Amino acid sequence: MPITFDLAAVNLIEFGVGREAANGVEFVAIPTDDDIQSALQDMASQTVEALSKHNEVAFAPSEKYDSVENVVTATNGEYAGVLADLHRAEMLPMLATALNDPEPIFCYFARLSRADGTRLTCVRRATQFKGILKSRLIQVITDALKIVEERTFKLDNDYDLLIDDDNIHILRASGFVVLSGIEAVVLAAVPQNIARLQANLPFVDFTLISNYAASHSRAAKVLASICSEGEAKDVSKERLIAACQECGAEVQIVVDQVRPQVGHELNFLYVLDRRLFRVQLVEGKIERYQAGSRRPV
Amino acid sequence: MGTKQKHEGLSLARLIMVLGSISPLFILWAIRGTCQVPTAPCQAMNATGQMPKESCLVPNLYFVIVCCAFIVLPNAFLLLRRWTAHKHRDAREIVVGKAEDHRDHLLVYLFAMLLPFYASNLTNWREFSATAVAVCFIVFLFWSCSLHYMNLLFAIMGYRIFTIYPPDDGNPLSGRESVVLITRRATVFSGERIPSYRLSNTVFWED
Repeated sequence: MPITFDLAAVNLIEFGVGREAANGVEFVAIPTDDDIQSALQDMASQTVEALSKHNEVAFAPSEKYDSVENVVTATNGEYAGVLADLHRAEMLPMLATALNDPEPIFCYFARLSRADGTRLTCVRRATQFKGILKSRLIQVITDALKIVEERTFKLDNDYDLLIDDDNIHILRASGFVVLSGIEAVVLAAVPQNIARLQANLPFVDFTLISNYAASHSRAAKVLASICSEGEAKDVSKERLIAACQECGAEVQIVVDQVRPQVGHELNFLYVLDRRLFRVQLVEGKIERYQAGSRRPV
Repeated sequence: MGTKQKHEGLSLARLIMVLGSISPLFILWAIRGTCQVPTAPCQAMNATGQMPKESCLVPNLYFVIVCCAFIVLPNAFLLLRRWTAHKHRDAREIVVGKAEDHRDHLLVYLFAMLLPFYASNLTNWREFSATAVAVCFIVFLFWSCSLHYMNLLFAIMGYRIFTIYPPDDGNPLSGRESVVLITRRATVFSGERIPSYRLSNTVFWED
């Protein structure tokens, strides 16, 4: 669903940063003047424009995305993490001196509010923002260049993602993965996801997979993708075994249950996530590939 | 989560606003002056039969100028701060969880500030110094307790002062600290969202 927030009707713009704190992360607001607010609003416009150039795709933790795409996930969904809290938080603590200590800052954000109470939260990882800190900038004053000695923070041209009440619109999936803490979210969700899969696939023994996914974030991501996209529903036992054999994911049948061989847990999950495939274009030569990114055709 | 410490900021601005809040005291002092008027009729005439001059601790003109400066400058700064916040759109949305009308703070202010100091004697250096130091203590207390919103100017301009507590929405990132809202509203209801200009990090002004 495209962004419906009207950027022209914004009446308040709040700026702030996310910081690593002793007990996790914290987000604080920083007062800004109208020039910075205009720049923040321009960044939001640029982001909307950049998003509109791509087709919208749903976010899946196991998917590898291009550097810039239009990926969407629900604000109320399981992957929103702390970003949903940031979007809904009221009266964030104000700390005008937050930029005095830039080391713990991991992102900056703007919250654009309209008079009707709707809000667009825009977030960007603090890479350039921090990186430019100690460099010496030059500035054109009249026709001469001048060294700017003050500590300077550089805003980017656009945000990594925009959050409205319904969806998170992700321009840079790599930024979203870091900001929302996807790895921690999917690792914590492994027991629930295993239980959901077990309900859909009673003929599979998930003991090995459960242990493997609890300590391997890639497996946990694939597991989460299979669950969130409902890929395990109506899977036939015979077709699953056949697909595993075809794609090279070794399984064994123990007491009428399918179990991946040790060392093949991730491949088994890839089969369920439709990421392993086989082609035979050359006579007598079978080729097997893993798809980091896939789209229905 | 959230900041555990209270970061008020704008220390100098708040100090000047506190000085603005005690400006009525300087009005009273400017009227009273530091001159001692001869009291008994028998003492009033000197040997030449002329009325003695008032003995002034500080010449009236200078004292009035200083008092006027303490009246005008801090309040002008307050209005400048408000204008600057307006010009730079330095505003935020105040979300009302619970609101308390703090008109009673004006009574505290009146008794803490105006009445005791109005009655103080400024006609000798010792009394004057003691009073000045006592005023400094009060200014410091008002400053450190963030009571810089206590200003009769607001009441004269028809504003009310509310303490706003944020809603308890269960969100770990939402603010927990109360703020002071200066507004013309007679009542503030729970759930209202009020865009307000920032005078300091805890005091906001709704036009």
